[in-house]
Amino acid sequence: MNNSIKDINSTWGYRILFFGLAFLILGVLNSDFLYGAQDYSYFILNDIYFGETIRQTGGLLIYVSAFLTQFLFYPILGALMLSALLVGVEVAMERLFKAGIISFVAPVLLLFTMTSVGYAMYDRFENSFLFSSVIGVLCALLLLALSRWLCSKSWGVYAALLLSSLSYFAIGSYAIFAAILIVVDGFCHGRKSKHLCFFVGLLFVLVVVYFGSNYLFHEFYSSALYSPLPSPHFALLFYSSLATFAVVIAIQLYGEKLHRITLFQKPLWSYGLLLAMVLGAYFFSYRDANFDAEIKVRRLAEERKWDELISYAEGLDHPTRPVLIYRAIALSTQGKLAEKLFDYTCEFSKSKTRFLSETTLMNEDFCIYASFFNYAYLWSMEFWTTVGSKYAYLRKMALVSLLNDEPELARRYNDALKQTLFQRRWAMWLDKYINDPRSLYVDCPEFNAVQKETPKVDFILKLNRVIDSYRNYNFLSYENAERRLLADMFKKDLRAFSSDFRGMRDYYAKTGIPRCVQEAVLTCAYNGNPKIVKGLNIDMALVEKIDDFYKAIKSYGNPEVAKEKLKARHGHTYYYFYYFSSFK
Amino acid sequence: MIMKNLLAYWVSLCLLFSSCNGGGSLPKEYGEASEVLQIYPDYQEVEMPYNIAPINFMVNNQGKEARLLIKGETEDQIVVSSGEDMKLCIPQSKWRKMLDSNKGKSVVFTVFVKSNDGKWLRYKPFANFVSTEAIDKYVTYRLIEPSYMSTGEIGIYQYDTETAGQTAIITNHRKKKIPENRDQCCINCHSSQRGNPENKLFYYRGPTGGLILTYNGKIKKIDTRAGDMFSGTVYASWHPSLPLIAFSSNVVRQSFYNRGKEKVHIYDFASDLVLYDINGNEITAICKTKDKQETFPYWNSDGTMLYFCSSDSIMDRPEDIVKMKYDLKRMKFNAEDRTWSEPEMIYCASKENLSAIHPRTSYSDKYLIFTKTKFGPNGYTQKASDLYIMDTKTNAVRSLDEVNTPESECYHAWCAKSDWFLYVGRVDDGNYGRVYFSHVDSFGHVSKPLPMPHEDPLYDHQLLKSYNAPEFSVVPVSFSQKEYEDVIFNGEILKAKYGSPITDSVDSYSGASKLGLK
Repeated sequence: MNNSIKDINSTWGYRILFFGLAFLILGVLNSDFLYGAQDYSYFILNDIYFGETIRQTGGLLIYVSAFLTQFLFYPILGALMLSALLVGVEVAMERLFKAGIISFVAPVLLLFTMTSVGYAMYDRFENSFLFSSVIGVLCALLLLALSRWLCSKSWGVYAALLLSSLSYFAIGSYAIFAAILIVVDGFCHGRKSKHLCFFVGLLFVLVVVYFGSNYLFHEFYSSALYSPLPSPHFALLFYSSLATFAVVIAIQLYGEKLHRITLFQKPLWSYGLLLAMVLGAYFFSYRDANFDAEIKVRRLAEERKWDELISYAEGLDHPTRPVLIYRAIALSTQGKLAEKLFDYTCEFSKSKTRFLSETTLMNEDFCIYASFFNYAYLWSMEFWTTVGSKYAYLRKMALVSLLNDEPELARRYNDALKQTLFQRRWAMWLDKYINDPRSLYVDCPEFNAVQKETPKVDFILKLNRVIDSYRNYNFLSYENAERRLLADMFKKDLRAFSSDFRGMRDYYAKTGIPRCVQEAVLTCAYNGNPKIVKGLNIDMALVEKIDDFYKAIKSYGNPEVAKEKLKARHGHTYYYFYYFSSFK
Repeated sequence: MIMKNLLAYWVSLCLLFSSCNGGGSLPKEYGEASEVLQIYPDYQEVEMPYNIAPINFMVNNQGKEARLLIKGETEDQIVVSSGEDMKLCIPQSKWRKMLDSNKGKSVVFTVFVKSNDGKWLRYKPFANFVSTEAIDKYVTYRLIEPSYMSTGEIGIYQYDTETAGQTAIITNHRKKKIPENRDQCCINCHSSQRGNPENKLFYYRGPTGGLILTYNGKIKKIDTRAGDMFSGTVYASWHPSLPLIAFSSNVVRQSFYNRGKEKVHIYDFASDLVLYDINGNEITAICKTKDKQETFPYWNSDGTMLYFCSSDSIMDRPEDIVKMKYDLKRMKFNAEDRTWSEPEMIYCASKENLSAIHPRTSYSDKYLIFTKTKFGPNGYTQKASDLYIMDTKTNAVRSLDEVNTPESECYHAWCAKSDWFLYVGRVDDGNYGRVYFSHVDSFGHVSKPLPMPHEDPLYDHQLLKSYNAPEFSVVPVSFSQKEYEDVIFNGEILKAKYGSPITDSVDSYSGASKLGLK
């Protein structure tokens, strides 16, 4: 009696530990990712979305999971739900396979898969996978439990196989997984009908998948076999999902034996093993501070917390291009772009986006704040159509439509957002401006600024890098022309800068030249264009400082040494950026 | 906040499943509403074909609940009640009976709204006329997002005008499920033969695609780029009776503008006309010019005349699009020796510094409807695009003010008996195209447009895709998506032969017959 109570206590002890660790990893260490996954997912409560979702392999599972994904809007809440589901998988496995601590391997692997999504989140990837991966496994285990319950009857196992095959239309490949579990269970328990079961199961699966893929879902047979798992394009996620299936089957076959091996006399060892498994999963999962930083700055921009965005971006050692762009957006809303753009580190790193372009991470926002509304709309819709429906794009399309004086178009997008659980809050915020667009410019001065700086001439957009947008067009306005200068500076194109600067002389004669533009002017002067400084009011202290810099560069033979030595005094200047910046 | 959101969400969920009640009774006591009735879609004072699906709508006036009384000139009536969502959905069987027994008469719609203080108000009734002419049973169209570069999820669909049901003819869903497969697989341009509507075609672009032609009960996949054509075929018009299809061959491009509400313009860098002989699998030139661009061929009802658009300007760079002004022309076709006459100008829009596109004659050849716009061959994205009707006997042209709005109207198509036509209008929000039906009487009078009905009145508002190139059809598509996909993904592609001389340049209309066509 006492032993069994002790066993129960230790089992629940493991579960509590696992729940706590899973929650820590998901809700604390990956909270930005969870929020991002929700922002790049889509669930709308209407017939159209339901119809489109349900007409694919595993449609019902995707629909339910997409609904639950909305809760990741509050990462703590979402993490609690996911952790509870993971514990649910372990409970089901323990009940079915009596594998003790080994039952945790599958949920740990699921946890690893969830936290390895990374940049796939922005791609043509169904972010509801975070929930569907766990719920799918739970469904498969429940179908196995059902088959065991029915196995006392001669037809029971066939009924379970039939049910799991039919459930293919709702849960996709997890139904195939369930059928395999049922057949393997027959072999495990040495049932007489095991071979027949195998053939019946195989037949069910082949027929159902063929029928489903060709006549119902119109998918390739191969993709219908594994949906709703991610495609092999997302190799790590695909194979780790398959590995989860394999692990569950292995535990089904050898769980009890393994349990005996790992039945340590001191429970502390078992706790240690569990801790090691979870920490191992975390260690090998996708951990990238830049990835989190990009989600964070995007969110801060969305919430228009500009000061917080700037100070957060300035706290990063090696920001990526998207972070740099979002910082520039924040600076421009504060009217400090020319003054502060190059007052920043120039140790950049590259986003590890692999298949995606970095533009996917920031283009729409950049275009909005650059006053190219049609460009912003185009990119939002481009991403919407090519990587899939996501809330983030819907919000952008709604906002841009309003800024472009198309309230009825904004209403269309906003009404869709109102049919969600948590995005509706944003939709209600925008709704009042759709009914009274002028109040948007009063309440949000940054939008007033971007509206004022809209180019007043028509031109065809060149679909190249966003940063080149300004450099492609003729003079627009002084504010825009200044951005163009900064773009030249960012591209380190001193010739273009010298040419564009000519048009700004009168303007700067009245306003004064921003510090980093002065630095760029002097950089031009030191690089073969001394005439550029003629007639300009340049800070003499700056001239002396840049003179020191050039002398010092000559004195250091090795550029890497020069970069390091000069960083303290010249680090946050344009000329330092010009010489030493690079995206690693 | 979470609880508040959840609560609001479940209310919406309940509304979703409780909407479209039907039935109910009329309020016994009510006052008269002083404000104007606002409904979506706008079905007030329209003409309806007697076989149209129920015109379900949503009341936009403030209120908690709505009731609808539909009364014909005969004794029958329908009463419909809404939920809190104010959607009024008419039972199909009762609606069908009502229209059948009121052909050529008006039916009166009276809306009652329960105001927020619990009192019922009756709005001024409106009358819709039930036409004695039916509309074709099917409409096919493409659904596509309105402004982007790459290919997303696209499909051609078939809509049943009597039930408002929609089924997919072909989609690119299969390819789009595989993220690594990012190649373009656009699907477009669905059309059928007038005299034998089972014969249909559409394109499935991309490596495994081609012209997917259904002819005499067989599906073929054809590569229509032949000889020295600068591109494959694009816009099609079936000869009404012979196994011939007139195509334009276009190098289509699009440009995106930095500002304004016309975000994208679509144009051709080059375009010519060709004729495809289905039996011989052979393409011959109709117009092969270097100093002109021809597009949008359209046969008249007996196949003796080919209408098309022609521009005297050509494109060197995207900015030239504003110079592209298309006129309407036609050429006589001799089916026996397959020769063409010299082109004849029938409407010179370039004189007005405008562009006339998409000529389409009625099946009686009495009228020709076309789109007039500022420039270029695409009226869809230009707000100035309006529909015009020409009396083909007198060549008198008038603007279809009954349907034109400050937004774009284009992509019109006639129904089989030519007493109804459809078009795509972007009046809802200036971006997303929606389908409208309009009646034309024997005097050329056109009725107020009837928005294409749906079971859920908000369907078109919620649909984040545009209707593109809709066409009427009297028969359904006879092949399943699976059968089409078998040909697309596994079928052999037939390379069309080229029956015209390969020539580098002919600087005016060639008159294909003069170049030794068969």
